[in-house]
Amino acid sequence: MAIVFTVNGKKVSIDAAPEMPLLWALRDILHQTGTKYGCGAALCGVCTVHLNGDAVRSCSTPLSVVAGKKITTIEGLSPDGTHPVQRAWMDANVAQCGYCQSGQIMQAVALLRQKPHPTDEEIDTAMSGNLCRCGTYPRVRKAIHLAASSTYTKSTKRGVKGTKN
Amino acid sequence: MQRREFFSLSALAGGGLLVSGVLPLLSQNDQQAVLSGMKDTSTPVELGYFLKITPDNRILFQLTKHEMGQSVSTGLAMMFADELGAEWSRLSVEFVDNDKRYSFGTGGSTTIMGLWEPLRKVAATTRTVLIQTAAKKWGVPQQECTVEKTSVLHRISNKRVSFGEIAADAAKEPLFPLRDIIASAPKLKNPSNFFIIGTEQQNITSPKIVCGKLMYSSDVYVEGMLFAALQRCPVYHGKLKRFSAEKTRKFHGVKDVIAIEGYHGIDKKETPLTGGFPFWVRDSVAVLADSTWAAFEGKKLLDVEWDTEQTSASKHNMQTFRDFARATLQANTTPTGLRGKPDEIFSSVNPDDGKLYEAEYEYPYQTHSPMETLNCTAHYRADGSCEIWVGTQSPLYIAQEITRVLGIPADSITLHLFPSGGGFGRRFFPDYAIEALLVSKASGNLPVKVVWSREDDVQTNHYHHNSLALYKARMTDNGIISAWQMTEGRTYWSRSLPPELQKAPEKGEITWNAYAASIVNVRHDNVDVQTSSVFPSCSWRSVIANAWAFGQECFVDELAYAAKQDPYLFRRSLLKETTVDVGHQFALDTKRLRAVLDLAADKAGWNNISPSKGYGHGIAAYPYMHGNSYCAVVVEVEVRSNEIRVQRVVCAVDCGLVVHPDGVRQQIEGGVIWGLTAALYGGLEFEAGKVLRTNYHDNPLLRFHESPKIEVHFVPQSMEKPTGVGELSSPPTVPALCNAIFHATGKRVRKLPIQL
Repeated sequence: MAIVFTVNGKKVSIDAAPEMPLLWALRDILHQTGTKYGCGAALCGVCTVHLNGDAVRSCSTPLSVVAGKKITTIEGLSPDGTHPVQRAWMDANVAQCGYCQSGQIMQAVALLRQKPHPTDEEIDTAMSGNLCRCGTYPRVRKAIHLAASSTYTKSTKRGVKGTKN
Repeated sequence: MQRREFFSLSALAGGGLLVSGVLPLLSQNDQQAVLSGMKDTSTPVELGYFLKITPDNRILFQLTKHEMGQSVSTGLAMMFADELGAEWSRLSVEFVDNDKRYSFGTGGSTTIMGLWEPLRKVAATTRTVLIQTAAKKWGVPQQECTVEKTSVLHRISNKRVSFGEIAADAAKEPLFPLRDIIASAPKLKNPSNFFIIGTEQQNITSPKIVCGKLMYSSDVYVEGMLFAALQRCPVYHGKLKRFSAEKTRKFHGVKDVIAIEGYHGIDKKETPLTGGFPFWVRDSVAVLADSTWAAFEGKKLLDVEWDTEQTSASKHNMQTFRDFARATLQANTTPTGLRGKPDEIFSSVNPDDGKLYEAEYEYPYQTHSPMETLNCTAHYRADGSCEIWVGTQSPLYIAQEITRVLGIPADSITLHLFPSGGGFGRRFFPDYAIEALLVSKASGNLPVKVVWSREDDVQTNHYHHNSLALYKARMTDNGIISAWQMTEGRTYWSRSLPPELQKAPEKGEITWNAYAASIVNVRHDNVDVQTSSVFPSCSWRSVIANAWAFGQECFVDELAYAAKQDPYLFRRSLLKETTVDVGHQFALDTKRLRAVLDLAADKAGWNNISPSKGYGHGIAAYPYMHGNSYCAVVVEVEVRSNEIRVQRVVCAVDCGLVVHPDGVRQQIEGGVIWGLTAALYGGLEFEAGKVLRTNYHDNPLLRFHESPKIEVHFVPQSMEKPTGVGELSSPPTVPALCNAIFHATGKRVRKLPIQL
């Protein structure tokens, strides 16, 4: 039976087993490959997306849970990379290989929505589930502080629009 | 030879200029020499390149080296744009796709320094053509013209024309033969006129990455393809005995289950790599399905039996392998590097030669764990041709291996190349591409995407080699070291020492030991435990330097404390201002090493860190000779109830001319975190040759909240050219941490991962 949900504002209908994790439906069926596979066990955060606005690990979220809900992926954050977190990520030159960064960014966006001006401790707590083998952690921290600063948040409304669906 | 027709200009559809060509391939022996760090990489290496200038004055630079996070796409593009005279904002980079001029390899921290001259020569030649074209158009002497902001400028009349506007005319200029470029290249810019090189730039891949739009090979979708997951033999040299796939075949989405026969790569006679780079395609059972998930789940339902009884690997756990390696080292070994007469000193009864100090250091097997697990999409067609989609550090190695093993001629092989989500040396080896092609062949010529699960990545991979090393030295009470010996058994690259060097150890490698400037009698024995390795080993970021720096920089710290001297000043006293022949292509420059040691100590405030209970600071310095660069690290640590918290890491770097400063900082920061993971969490536990670790919960990486403050400082430019950085900071980070722990606790760490 088809499972219906919303991805980046578009309604999708998928004919797949309800146990299939959202990650593989996004990647293998919908060909939305911005969301990556890292561990398959919610240990690394590479596959992080938003489910009704909350950060979740798509590798461990079965389609049965997603039915009827709203999913935002990295592709839905902004049409052109202008979300304040994306801009802060570029300005802090965070990425090396870049593979884990869509998960890092989605986690950071969720954090900043709950805590617009997070402390270092709050950033630690929010980001400790997102692994990076290249070692970009110091720059992830810098980018989150940048994104929280007034020059970036001024244009937040436009940027966050895509995730408030 | 056609590929030597180097430099060609042609018209781009729609009116632009297309520049293409290739610098000559090195001989196969030279390739080996470059890869093993025994040859200067500033000699011309293969440089496939491809440049488009469009009528709207956009510059598209096509990258033929592998981008795996080391930001070479940005660094090379900066070099190219600067020499050409193009504005950075007009430049974009594309990854080469299906160009037959494959790069042999990306590794050894050699990309920027290796292409520093050849790439700029290409840019300068292109610049010359553009100037010629504009001068002809205006009817003025070309000497009166120059380039500025992606345009040609006539200085006298102030006339200006953009590269894009004259691109179509430039395409009609005559060809330039290769030898002219190599021999009498157009004059390169004076470094004082650099306007992009050395400036702060963001990585050119960033805009795509933050939108999730950078395509990795794992993102490939080919019409009609199946997804495959492989259950691989868990023990080195084991074979498939039998399997049953009854449950698997019933799983929704599973299409087929096939046994794949693996093979041992490398035959000394048949490959360009004369030993030292063995790899193994494991026997496996492949599950083919309509999604990655169905393939993964189907694999879990397999019932497989392996024949591993006969393998030596199945006899080992870490302790038994350590005992075996130790016994091998303690046997009568022969020197592979020798300076002076250390044997005489060690057997001397003269008390003036000092006391004997000995220690054993172990740097264990460990995983690369790139965030993007290994994957490859392959299509072995019924007509005998093949197509591969892969992220690789050595496309030519893959192509050669396909021809060697499957007999497919080079003309019938198509490689689509992608950046990868971390390479770290693992993606230098071709096994995962050949394996995917074998699966495609066995599937009845379907396109197949093989994705390694994280458990596959941890349990059935190639790993950092295991290194066990015995250090000994004789030192007087006032700190004069009269002899030094290191005997190492490592499971990788053991057999690659050329026989002629084994017979002439006075020319052999004595590790990258800068203290040999002061210690006259030095001996290094490299012992083969590779043939008995429990796992296939391969290059792993910083490769041999990891174990060498760990042992040397901890052991010299032990000697400093034994001599009751400050560890920083003790090292300094051993670094006379000279160069040391350590048996590598580059001589070790102790002046450069001392400069980074001094800078790290200075920036860390070494003399002013006040000692308090539970806090410690440690120092280490080590060169990365393949990249001809130098790095020193000071680590500050807090240890409470045996819990280690790394507080601050100060790095001093000498990488010659800094092309892409923020890219270098990223590499140094990343290398520190890489080293901390190895020190705190590395290693592999195993039983009967099977890896016991499985995924990130039991094979951890350093996490965000554990990451220290990291500072990166550059010494004033020491050379007129860049040297390598990708593997520079991890080796000294590990001993600096262990030395800091000793300072904090009085406990010596001689084995990784650190256990207090």
